[in-house]
Amino acid sequence: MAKGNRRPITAMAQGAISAQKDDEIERLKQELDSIANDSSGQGTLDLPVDRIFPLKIATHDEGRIIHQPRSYFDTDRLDALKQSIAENGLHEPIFVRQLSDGLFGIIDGERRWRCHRELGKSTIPGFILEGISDEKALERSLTSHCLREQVSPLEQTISIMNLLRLRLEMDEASVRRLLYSLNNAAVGNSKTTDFEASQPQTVQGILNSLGLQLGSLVARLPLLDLPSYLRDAVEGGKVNPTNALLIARSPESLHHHLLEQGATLSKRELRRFITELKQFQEAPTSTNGKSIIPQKTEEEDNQPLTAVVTAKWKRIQQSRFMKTGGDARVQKKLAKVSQLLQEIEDYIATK
Amino acid sequence: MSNAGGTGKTTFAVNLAYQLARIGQSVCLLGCDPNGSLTLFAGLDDPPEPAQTLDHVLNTSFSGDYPLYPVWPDRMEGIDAVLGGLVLTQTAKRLEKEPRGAYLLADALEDHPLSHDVLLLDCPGTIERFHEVALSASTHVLVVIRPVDKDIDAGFKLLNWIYDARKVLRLKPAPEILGVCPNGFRKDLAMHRDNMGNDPERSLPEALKSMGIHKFPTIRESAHLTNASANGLPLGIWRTGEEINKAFEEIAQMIVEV
Repeated sequence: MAKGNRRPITAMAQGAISAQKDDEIERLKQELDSIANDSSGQGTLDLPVDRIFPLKIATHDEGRIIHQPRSYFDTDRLDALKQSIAENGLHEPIFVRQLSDGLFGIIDGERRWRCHRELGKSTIPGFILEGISDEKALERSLTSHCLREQVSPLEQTISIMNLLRLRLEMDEASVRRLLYSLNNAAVGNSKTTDFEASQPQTVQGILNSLGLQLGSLVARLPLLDLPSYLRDAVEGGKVNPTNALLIARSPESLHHHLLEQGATLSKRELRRFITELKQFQEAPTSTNGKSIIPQKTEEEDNQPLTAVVTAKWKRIQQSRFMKTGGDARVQKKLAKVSQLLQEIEDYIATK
Repeated sequence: MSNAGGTGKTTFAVNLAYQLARIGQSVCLLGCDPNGSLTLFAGLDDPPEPAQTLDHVLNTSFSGDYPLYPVWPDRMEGIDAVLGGLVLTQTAKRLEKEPRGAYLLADALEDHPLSHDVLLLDCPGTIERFHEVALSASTHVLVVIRPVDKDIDAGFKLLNWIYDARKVLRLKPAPEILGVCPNGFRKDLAMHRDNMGNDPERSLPEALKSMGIHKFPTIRESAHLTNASANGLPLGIWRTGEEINKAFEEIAQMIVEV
């Protein structure tokens, strides 16, 4: 480097490095394609199902473990795949890498492997990829996961975020900040360029090769913050991501009701429903008496507490939500109530 | 390939061809450069007719009659050349209008394969149409870089271009980057020493390592090497005992293994 040159060679190499990474994704795509189209199954081995393990790798992100990449397995879809495998066998071999002691780590194909295990099969067709480091394994796994069509938007978003974290060597919060500022810059909302020169290229390269727009990824980011019950509902296909986000933005007290009543509405219908519910909540007396959400009545304020408790308990028991068993959150609160009642009982016994 | 003039591509190509021939490989050099350096460095005379150059091969009507010139025929066997030259500036214009312009060499080699073991394509100094023509016809790419800032910067841009072009041209299988060869190294120059040093921020070898790109043995600047080329001979014939020949020998070995 010439004296005084402010551009280190590492900076000179940035463009090429970024292009090289995109190229890797491109190659992986080709590889997946050619394997999918190769019916001869050359190079495929029958691997022992009980010696295979899902991928789990710790990264530089404060030692946080990135699991691979599917943390949620929709049981319905898993059953469908299982049935297809039972009837027709496996079309696409899985990818593994060799671990120590004759064990294999899954790079791509955890769902297929789970199905085989549950079907009680002893072997599964797979490719062994040689000499793959932890980072490469994770990258391949995330990439092939992102490229698959049958993954849900939330799963895909999680994988893309993990891939970006890995490529940019940043934690999740920083990747998010970067995506927001890139998007803002792209739509002309801001002139901030508080990112390194190579970062936009890296992000764009990954998005291009996955066929995704920056705007749509940014729009999906709030999915990552959904409360667990909404996330589960999205993953389980009970509500689409758009509606889930609408529900998440409404007052929390409405969430369960909305999930139950409004999940299948169109976006516009759901919006109107939420507005109506909010109005009702703010001015309960103005409605025509049709109870949408159980509300505390004014009389209750003047009644003895035992009557209030009894009335509340009755309403809870009669609610549609409880008739279907409630959920974990309700059960937890009920446990607390039960505990409190027990304490009262114990206290009374001493009197 | 290079993305700068005077990096020593053609010198590299003729010396590599010589070492390959010495270990029993037959080699065909293809001059893709309008400057026609290959003609000079291989000790040949400029071909009189465009039909005697690569231009002839880059025609949709090409029927397999490669205009081959034996190189150093009185010294050794097994090296031929298809020459470039000024006519290639016209060829480049013509290729723009051809539907399969970027693929004409690949098409020619597919339809009429050459019998040689190794084909060496010597590209022009900066990225242009002939780089696409050569890339689409290649199985591997070797990049020659002089260890100065300008050439290194341009060299990385070339690597960037190769990765992108492989996609754009939809090359399957895509040619692999065989490696980068630092050429013309002078240890009396601080810039050369720094760029070939160990500082991860400032070192070409370190940057290549981080990208997983192979670095070929460094070839130092040598007046003998330049003189040999100017006299139309490989260094191995011009000065058999020169140390640099060993580097070329090593590279030739690696290429045979690939």
